[in-house]
Amino acid sequence: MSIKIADLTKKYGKNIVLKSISLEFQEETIYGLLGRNGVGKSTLLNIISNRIFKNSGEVLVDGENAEENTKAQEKIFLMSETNLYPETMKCSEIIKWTKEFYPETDVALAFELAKKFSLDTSKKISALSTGQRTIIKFIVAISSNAKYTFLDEPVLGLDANHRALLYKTIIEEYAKNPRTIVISTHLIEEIATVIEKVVVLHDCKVVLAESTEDLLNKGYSAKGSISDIEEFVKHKNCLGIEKIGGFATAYLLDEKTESINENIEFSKINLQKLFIELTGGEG
Amino acid sequence: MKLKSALKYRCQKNLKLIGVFYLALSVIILVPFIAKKLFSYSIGTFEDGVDMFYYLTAVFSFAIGFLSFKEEQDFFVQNGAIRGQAYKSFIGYLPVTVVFALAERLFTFLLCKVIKADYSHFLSTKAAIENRTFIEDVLYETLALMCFLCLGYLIAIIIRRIKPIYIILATVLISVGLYADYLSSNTNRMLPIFAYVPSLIYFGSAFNELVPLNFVVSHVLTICILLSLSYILALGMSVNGKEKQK
Repeated sequence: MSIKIADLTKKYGKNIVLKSISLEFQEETIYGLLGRNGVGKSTLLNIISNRIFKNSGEVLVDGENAEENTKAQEKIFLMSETNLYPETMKCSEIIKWTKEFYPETDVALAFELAKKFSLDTSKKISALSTGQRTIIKFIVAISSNAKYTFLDEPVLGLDANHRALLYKTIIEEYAKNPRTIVISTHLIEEIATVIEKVVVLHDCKVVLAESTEDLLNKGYSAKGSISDIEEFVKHKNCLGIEKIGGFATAYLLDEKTESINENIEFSKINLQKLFIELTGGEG
Repeated sequence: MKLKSALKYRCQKNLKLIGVFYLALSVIILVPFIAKKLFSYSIGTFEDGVDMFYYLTAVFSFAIGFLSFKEEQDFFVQNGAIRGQAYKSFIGYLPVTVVFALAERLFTFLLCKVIKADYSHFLSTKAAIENRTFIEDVLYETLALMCFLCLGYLIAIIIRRIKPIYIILATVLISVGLYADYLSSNTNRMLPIFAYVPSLIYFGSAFNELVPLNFVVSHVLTICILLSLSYILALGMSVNGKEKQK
């Protein structure tokens, strides 16, 4: 039971966004879907949830083709960046209608979360700020109890307090009702402690799909003189080298081996640094 | 499950609009009534005027169809309903025109009472002249309103699906075509197509005389054509309005 994506390609005109992507979102796992701006994260989530069409390839939800398939789409809830709720609709009505379309929705939880996030549910969508719109969309997404919940930029416009509360809510609700949650975001360090697996998109492809723990264990940096570092990184999976003066820092994603050169200094690197190096460095 | 929810949403959503519309119609009835009472204002009898509610209801049906697409389609997609279900829920919503037709008859009847028009039966002016039964009259009106509802829905899809420049271009071309059609028809003493076709659809004949069987057949055919076009266009559409690329 999972979402399997095979050989998926999406083009907008001549512009290829996703090129022959193959990927699997397993059951009851929290994923982080990472990638630079315009790399196709939202496009991928939109294709899975039948909002836009692929050019080729296949998306299977628990073995069922996802395109125009009620059985498959009933299991998916996508909290998208764009607002698809009518502007005149009240937050309480959104919760009510989500229950109508997703019978597993926990209405009590939705109202409780609204209280926690200080959201006035009698307000209409048009009267909400960007952050508040994000909150109501997140509340219905997490309360829907959909088997596959996709959160596309779930912290857009949220302050630090609300972001912390949102991450806490994800973990708490996941513990209560395990499901597949895919979080697409740019705030990598913040979700590092929430996600179990990481999927990185770059250059229209999946460049990494691994467990966060393994990734952090395998990722490290080596610092030393340029010649020592260049020698050290030979035959290793080096993501990038930064050179300053006569010194160099290499970022590696590999099994750590002891250096014969004592002048090389090793240290762990965080998820954000790994992401930057995986997706072509800074700039 | 989602189809039922989508249909329920459509009905509840439009309930407010329908309420506002009939409230406005009530005002239209009340104003001449009050004017007559207060100022002894003579309204007279205007035989064709009492069909005003029919035209208003036709415009309202078109508007409901038009508004039914964008907002509701987005809402259904957000709630995991597939395009086919959103479309089917629209078809399921079509019988609402029976309510529109009955309400229109009622309001016309009330207006006739207020202005003391020559006739007080529960029929439209034309129906009274042509000796139609009440059932026939409501059936004809329902079919005509369904056409307007479907036309509004289709136009909303076209506007969303097709780039504005193509819509402008198509409008210009159609206008030029109709004008040319008008000029050539005048020369040949023939009915222009833009008058002939609606007349054929509406009356079932090109000579403004209602032929019952032709009327029903032409309306059912028109509804089927409009719905088929809507289906083809709506089913291949992304949420952002871009068309399906294969």
